[in-house]
Amino acid sequence: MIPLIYVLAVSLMMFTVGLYGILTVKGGIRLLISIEILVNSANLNIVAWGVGIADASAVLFVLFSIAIAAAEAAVGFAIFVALYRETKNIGLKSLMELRW
Amino acid sequence: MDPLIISGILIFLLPLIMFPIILLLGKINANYRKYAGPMATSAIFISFLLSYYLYINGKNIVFEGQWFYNFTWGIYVDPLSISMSLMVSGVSFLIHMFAIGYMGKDPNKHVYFAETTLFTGGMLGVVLSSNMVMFFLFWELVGLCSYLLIGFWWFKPNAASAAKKAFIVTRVGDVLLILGLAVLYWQFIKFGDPLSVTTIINNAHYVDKVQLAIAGALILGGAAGKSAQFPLHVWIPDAMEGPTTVSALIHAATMVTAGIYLVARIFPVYIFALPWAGYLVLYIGAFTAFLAGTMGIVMNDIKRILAYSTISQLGYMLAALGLGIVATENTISISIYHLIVHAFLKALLFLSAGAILYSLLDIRDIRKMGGLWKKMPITITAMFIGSLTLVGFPPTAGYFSKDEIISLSYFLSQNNPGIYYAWLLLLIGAFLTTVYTFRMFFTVALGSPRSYAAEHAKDPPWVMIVPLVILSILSLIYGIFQEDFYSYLGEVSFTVPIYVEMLPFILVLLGIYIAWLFYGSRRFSAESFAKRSGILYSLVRAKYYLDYIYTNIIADRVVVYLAYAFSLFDRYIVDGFVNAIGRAFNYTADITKRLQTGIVQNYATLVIIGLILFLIIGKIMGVI
Repeated sequence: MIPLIYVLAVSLMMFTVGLYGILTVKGGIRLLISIEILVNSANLNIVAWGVGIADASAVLFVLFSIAIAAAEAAVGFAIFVALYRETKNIGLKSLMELRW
Repeated sequence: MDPLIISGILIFLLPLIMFPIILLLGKINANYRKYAGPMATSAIFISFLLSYYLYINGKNIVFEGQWFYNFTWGIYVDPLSISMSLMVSGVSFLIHMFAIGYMGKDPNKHVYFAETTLFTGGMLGVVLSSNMVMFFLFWELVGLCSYLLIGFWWFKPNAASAAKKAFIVTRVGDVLLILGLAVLYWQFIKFGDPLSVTTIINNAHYVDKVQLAIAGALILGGAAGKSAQFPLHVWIPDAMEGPTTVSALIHAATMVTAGIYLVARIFPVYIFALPWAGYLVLYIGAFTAFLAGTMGIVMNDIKRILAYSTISQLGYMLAALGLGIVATENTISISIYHLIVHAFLKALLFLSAGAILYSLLDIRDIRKMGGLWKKMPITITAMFIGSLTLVGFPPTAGYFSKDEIISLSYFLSQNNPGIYYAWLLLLIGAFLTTVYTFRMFFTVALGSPRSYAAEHAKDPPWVMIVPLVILSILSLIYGIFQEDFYSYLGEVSFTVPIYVEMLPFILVLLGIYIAWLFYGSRRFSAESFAKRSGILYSLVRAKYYLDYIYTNIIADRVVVYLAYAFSLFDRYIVDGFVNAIGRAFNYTADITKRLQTGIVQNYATLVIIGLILFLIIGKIMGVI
């Protein structure tokens, strides 16, 4: 069996990639992808710990988490569709209207 | 509560309550307007009855209730305020009765009667207040009502500007009065309730003389504004633009007597002040008595002549108080006795003038009257009695009141040579009074009618005659009560040589003779005499250029620019200061708001950097 620490290392790498993504990307779709990576890194983390301490309820939580992530992605797409109708563009720069 | 206290409060509260009732009734239905006069008159009559009830049952009643902070409200009843309250309500009642006839045809008479009721109520409040703050509120109420009533016929431009003038000139005095009250407050704060009349009267001798003199002089300024003393007398002649009954009310019962009453009320402040305060009171009074007399001689408007005679007689009252202050005698009784006699005779003169104007359709120039004695005998007889009382012809009441002041000034000048000039001024004033009064009377009553309206004049209806008759009788016989009045208010006994006592009477006879030569028999022509006096005549005719100085020099050259400067100060300094605070925040915000880029990723970066820093610091400090 793969030791727990390797799985956690993969999760940490995914988290870092996702975090870097949401801080730097310019496009809306890429932002959503980065968020998915972040969520999945967290899911992986929970599943790994669930196996590590031999508790099956962790897998259940992750199922919920995947469902919520799907809903969140749908909301995110809806926002970008609305944004596209307004500005013909879904670059994150077009969301700067809310300042000052 | 004691019924005496309740009735004391009701004396001034009742007319005040009637004000909105009369006003609203007239507003609701124009048919009710005819009840306005009788309602106002009966309210004042009830006040008179209540005053009489107080006069019979109590001499000294002081009631004080907590008002706010360290001020009380209440009523202060002593012989001085009872006699004032009886006079105010009584004379005001007669004037209201006269006004039922005089204002009968005016479409807005409900407004008129509502305002006169408020006016009388305010004056009764002034008289009965136990606290100078409450006093000041009523004082201002009286000022406001005088403004409203002088401008009652506001559609006449003269009336509107006269109302404004009266308001502004008395306001100058009121500012001085507030300053005086502030000095009193500061000095009397250590005795508890600082502006209560009781405190002021009982503790005046503990207070620094210099401060008392300053307070007294400032308060005298307020009194001079209300009582039309030099140099704030200029509003009264213009105030004649209102209805004649209003002039009667202002000159006899309310308003102008408030200033004299104020000085009499806080008499101990002046007594214990430095002597110059007393001399100020004395000489402002005596000089005004003289100055107004000279101006009265050259006026042609019947109401303006009476206005100047009021100023002059108020000068006598103030001088009588000044005499008492300088010689530390209690001369309040002498001053107030003249005040009451003057109220009777001036109400009588104004009401008979009102009856003449009523009959002559508002012709006020005495040169257009003439020969009225045959046309309206009752009115002119009343006017004759009023004139005799005004000049102090024995045995009318005026002889007992005015000559008493002149004799007293001579008596006191024996020990105090500083008073001697006041005696001279008062003596000349008495002579001038006689000349202008009988100039007016002879021109109005004798000769032949000089206008169409004068030929068809006739006596007014009974509702206007009755007050005239009552006031005539009072003017004639009130002299009998002189001794009673003095013993009620506090006696002053003195004796002067017989030739001094007869001197005013001789001057009165001389004055009547001179007026007869010029205006009765017309042996001499007043016009050619005026021409020969040249510059003196034009000086008096222009009212010593005081109006010119006030409006064209002080108002136009000084006050307007001062107001402009103040407006600039307000706009740029006061407003500028407030705006600067706002702008400072604006500029700071303009710089710091750049932090809000609006890019969500920047915020997220900051959050994460913060989180990392938090974790590192936590680790270093060993918290986590």
